[in-house]
Amino acid sequence: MIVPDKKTEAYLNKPVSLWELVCLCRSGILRPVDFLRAAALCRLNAEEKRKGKRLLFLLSCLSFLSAAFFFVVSEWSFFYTISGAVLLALLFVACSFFRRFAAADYAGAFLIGAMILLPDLIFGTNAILYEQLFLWFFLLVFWAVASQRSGVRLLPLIALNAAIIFYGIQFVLPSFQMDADTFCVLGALLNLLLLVAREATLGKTKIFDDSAFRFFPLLSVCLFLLTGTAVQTLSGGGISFLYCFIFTVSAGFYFVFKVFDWQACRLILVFCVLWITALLYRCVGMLSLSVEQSMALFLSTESLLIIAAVIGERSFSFRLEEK
Amino acid sequence: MTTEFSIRQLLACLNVSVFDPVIEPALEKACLSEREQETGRGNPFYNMIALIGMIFAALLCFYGLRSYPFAAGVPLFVCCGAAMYKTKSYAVRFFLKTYFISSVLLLTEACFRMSPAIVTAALFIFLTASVLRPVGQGQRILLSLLFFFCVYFVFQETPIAPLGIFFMLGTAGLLFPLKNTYGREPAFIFVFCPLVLILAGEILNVPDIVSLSRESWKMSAFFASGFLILFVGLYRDLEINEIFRFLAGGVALLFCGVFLSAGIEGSLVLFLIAFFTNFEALKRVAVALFCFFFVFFILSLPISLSFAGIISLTAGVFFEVFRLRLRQLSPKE
Repeated sequence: MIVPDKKTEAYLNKPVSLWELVCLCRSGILRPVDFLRAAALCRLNAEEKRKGKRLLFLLSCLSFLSAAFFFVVSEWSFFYTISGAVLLALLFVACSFFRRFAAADYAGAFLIGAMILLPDLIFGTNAILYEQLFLWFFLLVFWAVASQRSGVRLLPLIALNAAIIFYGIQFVLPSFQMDADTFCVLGALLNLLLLVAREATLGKTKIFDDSAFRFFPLLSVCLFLLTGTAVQTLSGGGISFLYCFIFTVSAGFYFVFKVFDWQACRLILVFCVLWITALLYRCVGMLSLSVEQSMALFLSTESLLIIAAVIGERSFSFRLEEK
Repeated sequence: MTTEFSIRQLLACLNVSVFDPVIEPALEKACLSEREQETGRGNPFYNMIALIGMIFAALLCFYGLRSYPFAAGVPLFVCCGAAMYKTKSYAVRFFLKTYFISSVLLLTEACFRMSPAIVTAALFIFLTASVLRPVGQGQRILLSLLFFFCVYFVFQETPIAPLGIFFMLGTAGLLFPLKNTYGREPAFIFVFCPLVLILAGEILNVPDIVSLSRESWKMSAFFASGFLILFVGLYRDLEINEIFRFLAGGVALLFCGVFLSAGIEGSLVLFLIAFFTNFEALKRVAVALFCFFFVFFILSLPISLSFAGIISLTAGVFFEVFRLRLRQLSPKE
């Protein structure tokens, strides 16, 4: 009789996982035909039922949502009548009463938007979209202040950014008041101010303590600056790359050395890769190369950039985990 | 999935004695495999972000250098291969591996253009060898993917048979993990790829692939045979009435494939495989595939929007009733 050593004993006393089951079959301890039987033995019925119920709940929610979507689209003309507006108002009142449920809280916020935007669609009032979005933003602020959910409190910021974007597209850019590059930089600056205000009031008020209020303005700054670099890459001119560089260095310094936030650092890394890609595209375009040569140079350099970013991210992450 | 059962208890339930001299080397091998796995976990690049980044970078490099397959592929292959053999640093190995993969893709594509059959046969030999001996996980994944796509492109005119055979092979690999093999990755790839290819075809509206899913009973038969393999694995533990129910379920699946969509049938079979092997991630993927195929099926029907709404509502009621039924059964446990 063979007595298992300590390592084997430890292995034998481990709880079974799916990986262990596969290893048992691969190493020849279990026959392949016994794999399904072993899996059945290890199945926790209560756990399986819990997961099954969750899955079915998800599927039924998706089905009901898609059914609602199909019905609304097929009966769209109903919303072109006064009855449709009354229905929306009633739904909004119902959402206000039941806003302790997350679905009602979010639905209320979206119904405000629907009630602002639909009259233009229904009666053709020629309302200006960015004005409607600004109105939605102001009304959302009142709705969001009373909410306990950070997702709902974030919605006014999203509406504000949407309003700014449409303000640029519908008014500022067509009237040549400023070029696209400057508009993007100003949009980024506004979000940067929001971010700075959030960081300055951190811990003093509970409303903006959620990490989403750091992440979203940061993401908006990055997106505005990237749009600026894209416009610049396609049309030439501007100094957005310089702004991108300054923002990357200062935000990187702040989130690495001052207030350590690894998610923010990752976002800045992705932003850095993207604007360097735009810069690279522009640089390769300046060289007098054939299409194949340009493509080979651009894509292989881009792959080097991505690999360098991944190696940097993983090495730093691993050091953090070790610490 | 982790249970409160220990490996020792599980083996006892299955009448396997750990004191059996035949089992001793197998146990040592299992311990070794576990240690290898733990060593892998110490590698910072043993991670999903790193894997996605590596694949993306390798594909970018491959796409960029496609115009110079041999001029770029051969030096990359030789230099990265030789350097990978020598270096020990995880970061450098990761870097070299990325460009080694690019070079393999470049050379495979170039050779495939010259002689598809020879490249496919060579890949088959490499894949078989890699399945039978312990090589890196990445190598097995890459070889399986290359082999799958080479076979698909060779039989592009008649893709039903290869796709169906891949699905059956993958199913068998997942349900019966073979002794002395390292074939789990090929099994996953062979099960997923046919379904993902059909889904991609439906999204991009490729007529040949859409017809595979909608109009071909052969594809449905191949997916149903995956169910049959599952039945073979389970029938010893089933009672007569369960066998009949199981077979009725199989016939229903076949009809579902023939009259609705082979993709829906395939994703349901995949879900059953995941359920019987307790594989959570596979279950989620199967459900996501099912949802996509179901949406595409509804969108392809010549019906009004309100009728599509009624179908979705019926599906929602069906899922809800099923969930309530499960809830009723729970207290009896």
